[in-house]
Amino acid sequence: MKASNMLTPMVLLVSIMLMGGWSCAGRPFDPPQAGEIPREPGVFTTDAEGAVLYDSNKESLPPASPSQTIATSSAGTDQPAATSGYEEFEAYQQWLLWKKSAVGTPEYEEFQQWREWKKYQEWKK
Amino acid sequence: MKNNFFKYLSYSSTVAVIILLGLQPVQAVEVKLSGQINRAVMWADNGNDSEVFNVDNDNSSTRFRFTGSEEVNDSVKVGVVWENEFQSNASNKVDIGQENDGTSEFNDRKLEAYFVMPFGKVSIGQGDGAGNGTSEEDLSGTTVIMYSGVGDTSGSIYFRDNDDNEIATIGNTRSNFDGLSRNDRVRYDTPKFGGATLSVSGTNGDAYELAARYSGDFDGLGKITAAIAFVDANKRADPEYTQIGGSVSWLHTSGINLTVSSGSRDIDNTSTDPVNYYGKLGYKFDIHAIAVEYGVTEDLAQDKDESKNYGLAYVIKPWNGVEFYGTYRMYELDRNGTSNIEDIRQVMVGTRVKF
Repeated sequence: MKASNMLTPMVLLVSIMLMGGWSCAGRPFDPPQAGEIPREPGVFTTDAEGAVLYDSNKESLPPASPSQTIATSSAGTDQPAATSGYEEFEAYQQWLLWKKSAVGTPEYEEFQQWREWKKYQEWKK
Repeated sequence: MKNNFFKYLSYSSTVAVIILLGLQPVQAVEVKLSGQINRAVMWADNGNDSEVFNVDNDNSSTRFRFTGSEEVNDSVKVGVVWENEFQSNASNKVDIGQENDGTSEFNDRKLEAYFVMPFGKVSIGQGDGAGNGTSEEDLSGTTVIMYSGVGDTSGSIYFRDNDDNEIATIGNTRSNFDGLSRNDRVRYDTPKFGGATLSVSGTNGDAYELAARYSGDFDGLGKITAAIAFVDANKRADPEYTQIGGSVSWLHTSGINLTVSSGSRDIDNTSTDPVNYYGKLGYKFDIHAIAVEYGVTEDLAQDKDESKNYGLAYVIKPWNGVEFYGTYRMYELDRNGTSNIEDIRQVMVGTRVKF
């Protein structure tokens, strides 16, 4: 390998080592992979990984109530807390609007993670 | 020695999996179907002639995928991935002068089983080699139409001189040196240590790949992802070569993003060591993403070749699973002893719909 060609790999390597040093400060995340199917809900599905053909947990899980699906994430995305009656419906409408506009944002990603986490908690019970 | 290492790795992994699986009852099973349609209209001009094509965007081809996983006990998850692409008139296979629908190709992409355990993940079958994707880290939100693998959108279009003589295709003169792509391999990934992962894989022809990846989300600074890989193609390639490639992408909280990718190949018995440099500057906001790029590969098809491109891309994601995109790219080739090589210009507009 020509010496000049070594420059780029060395720069990349040093960059990664520096970032490794920062790794205590950064929160890990799964970056998107170029060329792959996006990790997000599709046009027919709400699940980021596709349509669920079979889920052994589903039968044992109680159906999600509005108070479970409408809650405040740690990112402060302001999904309304559960109330009752018409106020709850209005809050739900607001949340739907937020959900539509927030696709692709870090808050939306965190919300999806939060949903998965809640599902996992239910499954563990 | 290398062969022994990978044989040992695969045998020991298998034994470990069998031991860990034990005879525990199945705790959770999931089977999922997903896929995407990615079609575009592409106009290209080679300096002498132009053409409009209806293509399958090879940046992220039309495909479907079955995935299944099962948590067999508290510490072991077993999964399978089966992914096929089905492309009619792929964008990287067309050239000026083609007047029909080209070919339809049904290709296997991933056929693998994996085992996630406390000490990492072991995968076996056809799938990403450890180095695949390491030159393609990109947080710009525009990879569906523009990323470091520039040959995917028009790799078979020929550079021609002003007498219409064929010189070389874009694909022959460009590479981002991104590992060994997908291959039949055994792969091991460590667990994430604060966002960092190490991977190794061995494939046919005694080839192997080593990779390191890092991704972290920093308050105020935004997201950073980086990767680097070393590849020894060994007898898998003729002539044999070793290769190193990597990329870094940074998405600031403001939406401004920067991506760089580079790699080089050390080819046996030649003095030609091709190298690639690629950079992209973008801005991502709300449902929009825009970016500009510049890339150059030197010495790949011939010594002293300089094949470069400039590009502009826009992607909008109005609804869940739906993207619309457009791009303009210009390709140039400088070759020693060959003059009057025409530039290639390309415009592509299309949509990717995930299901």
